[in-house]
Amino acid sequence: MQRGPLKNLNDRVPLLLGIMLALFLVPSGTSLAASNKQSSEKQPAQAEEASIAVTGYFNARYTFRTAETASGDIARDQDAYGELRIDATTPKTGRYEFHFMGNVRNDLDGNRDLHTYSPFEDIGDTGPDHTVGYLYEAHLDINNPFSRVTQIRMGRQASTRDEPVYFDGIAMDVRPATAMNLTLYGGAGVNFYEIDRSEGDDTVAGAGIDLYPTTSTGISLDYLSVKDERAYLQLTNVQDDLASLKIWQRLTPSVKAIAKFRYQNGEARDLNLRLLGSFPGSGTEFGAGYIRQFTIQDVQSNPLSPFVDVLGQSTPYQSYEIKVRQFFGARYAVDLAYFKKDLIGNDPPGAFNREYSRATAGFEIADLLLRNLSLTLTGDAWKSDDQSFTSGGADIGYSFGKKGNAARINAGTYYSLYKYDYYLQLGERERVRTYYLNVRAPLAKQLSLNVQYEYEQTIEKFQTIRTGIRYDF
Amino acid sequence: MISKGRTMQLRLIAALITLVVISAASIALSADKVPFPRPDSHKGNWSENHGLNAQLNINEAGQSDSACLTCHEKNDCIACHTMRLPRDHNNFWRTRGHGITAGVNRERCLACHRQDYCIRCHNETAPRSHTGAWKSQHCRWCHFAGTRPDDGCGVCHKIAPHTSRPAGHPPIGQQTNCAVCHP
Repeated sequence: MQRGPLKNLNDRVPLLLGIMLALFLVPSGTSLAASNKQSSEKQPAQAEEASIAVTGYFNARYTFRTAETASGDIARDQDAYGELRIDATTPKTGRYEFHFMGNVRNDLDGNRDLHTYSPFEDIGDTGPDHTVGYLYEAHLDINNPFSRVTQIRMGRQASTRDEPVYFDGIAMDVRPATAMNLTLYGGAGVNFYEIDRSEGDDTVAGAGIDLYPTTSTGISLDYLSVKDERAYLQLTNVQDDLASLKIWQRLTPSVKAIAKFRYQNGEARDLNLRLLGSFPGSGTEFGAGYIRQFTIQDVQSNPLSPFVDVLGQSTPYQSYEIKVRQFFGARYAVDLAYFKKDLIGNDPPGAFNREYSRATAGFEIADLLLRNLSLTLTGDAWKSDDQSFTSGGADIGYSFGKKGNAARINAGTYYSLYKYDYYLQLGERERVRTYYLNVRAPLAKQLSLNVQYEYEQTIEKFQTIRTGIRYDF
Repeated sequence: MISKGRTMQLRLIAALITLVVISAASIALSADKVPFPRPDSHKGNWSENHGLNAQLNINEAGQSDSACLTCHEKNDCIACHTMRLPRDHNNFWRTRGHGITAGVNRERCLACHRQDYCIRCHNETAPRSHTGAWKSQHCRWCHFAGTRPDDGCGVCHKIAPHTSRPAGHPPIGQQTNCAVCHP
């Protein structure tokens, strides 16, 4: 079933914008008038304090790309992008907040033919329209509207709790007791790339309770229900019910342990254990993690699925990870990390269920020869049964000019080697060499120019120029 | 009568104009950001290495006024993770590398993507492999990539015309030249 006049994602965008803008501007306009009168008569010292504080940025960018194929043919592509982010608050009362983030992309001359391959095609080349817009956030927040209700958020939002679901609806935080928080949320689910451009009757509803028995301990219980109307493959609608328990304990002020268990649709889904530490005195940071997926993950709702519709079932596995970052004085830092994934159970490895191990290393030098000149070296390697990847890179960066509004130049190169099977070419090797130059130049206090050039030599030779203007307010 | 595509374009233009109006209003009301200096932890290549510290200090659900949120907005994470691509997301990644990586660690993709992104793109763009003599030789890709049928076909072709040797088909071997019968 469709939701009538709101059946399409893009139908909702202007409506949401209008509602949010109206809700925000009406009370804030009143506040502006009242505060001006008040400040002029009784509080001259606060006359300069604004009733609305707005921060954010607007970024406009143009991208031009060329690709030279092995036969010498050259293809070209141009795209334009716009991003807008707004965070508005009423600092005097702290009562209202408004948060907005969205972007618009225009495919100026792309190939939209479904049946011919283009070296530039990506998600922006899908659909019938050359211009697409995505609204990620547009919500009005009211702080402390009632006793024990700390915040109500209305509109398009995400990150209400740990699970990253987008929805158009309402979320409410309640503090029934000093060491307790309750969050309730729900609304129409938002999936940005639905193949039929319609979310239909997708819904999201959830609740979470946080308990703080001590200042260094937290316990969170969550429930999330996602209903996903599916048009893909003519499968029936999917409803997932996810319950989770998370416990975190700060063992010392610098060390924290986190355990999270998720239970979905009547069976254990996964367990995630983490130990994290940071010791500024010795310049050491570390993280260790263990993840175990207990059961085969099959078709699920879009926000919770581990790409099952594309990659097939996700078979049970366990993974281990350790990361260490060590500073040596103020100028040097070394990063080391190791990750290993093992399949468990009787399911054989498949094209998208592989065992593998990965090692990464990095080295940074700050103030090399000159103040604010830095060098970063990175290396990365992973290997599975019949595939492997290695890469190495170097980046040199230099900042100069006024602090807080400095110009910055970065130049670097990366080399990657992929070994894999592809089509009839078993044991294929693909080398990718990339060189880049990035420049950020401040034009005024809040205005900056960004120019990037990138050359990539792989199956084709790509050249990319990105240039844009960003206004921070 | 206005076509569906034209209607969509008008809606998007309206949305764009609204964005510009909101942006202009915001600039008029703009305020200075918090003038705090960067914390000591934000040293070195912080933007690339903040993940560990963020997990250590990020505000837990329900806590909204300490740690990262002292200076940052909640949607800072979304803004950056949505708008900035990881370093390895180059052109090779877009055309081929992402599939190789998804084969070993699909969990990494979940940090930013949901499966509708994959489905949309794989359904509405043409794969690099489906060029040249693909039509006459694709059976070997499915049946003889290694020792078992390759799962790669299933990324897009959930309901293949045949999933094994079609009825009446002569035996297939490694030396079989499919193009003899399937030009």
